[in-house]
Amino acid sequence: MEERTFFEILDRFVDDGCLEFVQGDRTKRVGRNGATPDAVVRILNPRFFKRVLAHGNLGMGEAFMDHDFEMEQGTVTDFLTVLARNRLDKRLARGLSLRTLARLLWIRLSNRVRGIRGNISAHYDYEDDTLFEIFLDSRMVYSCGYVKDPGGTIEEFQRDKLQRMCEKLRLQPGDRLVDIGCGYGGLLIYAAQNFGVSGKGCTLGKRHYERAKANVAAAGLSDRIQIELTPYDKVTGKFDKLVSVEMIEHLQRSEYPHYMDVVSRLLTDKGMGLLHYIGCTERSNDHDPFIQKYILPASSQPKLSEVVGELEDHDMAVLDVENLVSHYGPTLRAWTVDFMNNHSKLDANRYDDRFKRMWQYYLECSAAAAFASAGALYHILFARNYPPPRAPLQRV
Amino acid sequence: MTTEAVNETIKGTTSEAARGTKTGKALLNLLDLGITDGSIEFVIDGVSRRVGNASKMPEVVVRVSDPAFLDEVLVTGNLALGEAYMRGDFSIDNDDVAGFVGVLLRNHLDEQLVKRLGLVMTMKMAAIRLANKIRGRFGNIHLHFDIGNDLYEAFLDSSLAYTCGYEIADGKSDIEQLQAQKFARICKKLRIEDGNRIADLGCGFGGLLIYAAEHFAITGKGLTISKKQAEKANERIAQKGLADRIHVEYASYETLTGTYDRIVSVGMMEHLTDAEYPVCVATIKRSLTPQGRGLIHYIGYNGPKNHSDPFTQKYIFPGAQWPKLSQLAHELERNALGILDVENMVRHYTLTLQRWLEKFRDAYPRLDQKRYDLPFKRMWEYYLGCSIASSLYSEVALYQILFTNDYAAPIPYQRV
Repeated sequence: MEERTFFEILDRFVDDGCLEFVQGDRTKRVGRNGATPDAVVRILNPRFFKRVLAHGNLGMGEAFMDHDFEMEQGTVTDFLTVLARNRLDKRLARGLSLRTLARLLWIRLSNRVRGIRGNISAHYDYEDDTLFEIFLDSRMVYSCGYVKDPGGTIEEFQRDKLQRMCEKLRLQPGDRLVDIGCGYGGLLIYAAQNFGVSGKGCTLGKRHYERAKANVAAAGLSDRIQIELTPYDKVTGKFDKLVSVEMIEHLQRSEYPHYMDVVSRLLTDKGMGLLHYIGCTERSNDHDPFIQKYILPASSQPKLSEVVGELEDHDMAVLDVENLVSHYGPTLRAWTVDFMNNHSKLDANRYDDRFKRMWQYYLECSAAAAFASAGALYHILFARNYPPPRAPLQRV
Repeated sequence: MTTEAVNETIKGTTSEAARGTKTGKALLNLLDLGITDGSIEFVIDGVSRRVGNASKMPEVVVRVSDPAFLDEVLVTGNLALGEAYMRGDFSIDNDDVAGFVGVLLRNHLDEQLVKRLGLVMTMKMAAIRLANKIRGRFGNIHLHFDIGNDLYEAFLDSSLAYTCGYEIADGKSDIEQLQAQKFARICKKLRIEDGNRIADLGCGFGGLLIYAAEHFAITGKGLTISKKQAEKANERIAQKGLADRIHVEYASYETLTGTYDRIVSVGMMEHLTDAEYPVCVATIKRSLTPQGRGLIHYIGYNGPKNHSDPFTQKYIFPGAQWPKLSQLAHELERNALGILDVENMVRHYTLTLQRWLEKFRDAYPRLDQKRYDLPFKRMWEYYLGCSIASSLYSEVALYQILFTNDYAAPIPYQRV
């Protein structure tokens, strides 16, 4: 029954691309006639159909974690990209049952109760950093890189991203820089080493805090860079420049005005800031249910109009917006490759097979979303007051 | 506004009671307190008074011949200043309106004045707005753009582009280059290709369409609600032998029919009311091909309230307002048009306005002095000077928003 409905939907809507499904000795193709399949999926347990129809991407992810299907040809990203490009994610979600909706609501509610500190810990405070070490670059920058050449390495993507952010902010020696949600401190250290700034970073992740401090000390920058384990609104001081990279996704929408109060308070009169975040180009900014439940609880994808509206309400001038979503594809692909190559190094007692498959699915479905969904990666450059009168005419 | 209308309006705006009886001390004291960055020297009846930061040389010298208007400024702000300048109640050394207004804006004097503006100003503002509303959009566009093509020919570039240009070098380009570079950049951002069908909403004298048709094998259509612009645009298109590929219609944007690979709108949004933004973006959505891209270029506003200066409202752009980026971003999101890039080019506006002002002053002696008399000249200089100052020191922005109807299609890694 579910199987028939599943294929009916795919038959009707997939026309860009081609998929093949194998179940036992039966095969079924959907999409463009006569084309080579973009991906071949082997169904190992027929409950796959039921899970996907009932819970969309959440069901698909859980089906992958439980070995209900595997990829016979192509990657999970290839498979999901075809679905996303044909807007299957929307079509499956439209048929959400009441039970799924109730379940989604429950996920959101429990996240809200736990609060932001708990959520950050849930995602980032696995007992040590080994999980992140095996797939991130040497600076351990856990955000979208900047791709000059899609064949480049993750090391280059992240270095070029940091360089680009520093150039956009026109950092100069003596500037004071604050990084809200500084992770392992990669950006602050890069800016101090290459642009001669001093500054401060804050994070809610305990492992971030400890490791960032150690990294700063190892770089001999302890006199110039402070790392604080504190909520962003407890940070004090005045700064010439501000950055916040993939942090506001973790805030409730009702918190945006308060967040901008803090941004405005931290900046000097002639100060400038750069927000880097995963946004959404469409009407709704609800995050994917799989990501909600397993990876980044309580995260959302703010629309550009929401964030810009807050900047306007705080009299801050938007100087430039770049949508870097195409750069997330190669970034995630590089992470996935490194994760798959290295996950055998993880402690099997703490990271079991189901966890590894969950992480793989998360990276791969995020890549598909970057290639073919309404997701965006926005860099918003803004000035605390009006644009600097003597700024260079051409943008970075 | 035409010369006759200007003279009619500024006559008697200074109240008889105020004339000659007050000295403007209150305003000068307010300026002295409010200006910390820079200073201004006022010369009234041969007596000079410096306001602002006393340790600095004055940036501008203002010579007042009739001080009555100084008290008006406390009541109606920039409207009174502008009208007094047009009447010749004061002059500024080197005619440096931009320098004078720049000091006021830099020190947020506009906000301090607005706070003090009482009921009178609120009512005047409301009256201006009401008059503009009654006249409607067609009438307002007619007022500004149908003054006479000779005026625009005198201070604009040869394509008659009346919008912000783009500088690719260090600020030495002339207005001709600035506009050509802007057209080239818009075409590049939109990735215009041979065979594309292009629509230009609010196309003015057709400069962008002509540029695109000369550089790419495109076809297209422009819409404008200024009859003179439409006529002149088609004349120029015919002269260049492009009439088989592009043409301009005297029509409003929402009457656009057909589908287009690229839709561009340069300097039109400012003339719409908030209520029209959804209509405009919906028109773009319905007229774009599934793989289509669009670009909106407009004067925006970076603050909580979308407002326009009363002087500009009354004399220059009746009914105009500067949309906030969040307003247009919201409309694009509602229509599933994915935003790829936003550039704030306001620094380029400073440069463009400076070039216009230089060219206007240069050309003024050759203009018909009956149609463009001295108050008109001073109005135009005041308008351009104020615009230069606000492009430097205010919440004004110049946005180019690039968007796509096919967000799932590959996006180049490097932007233009």
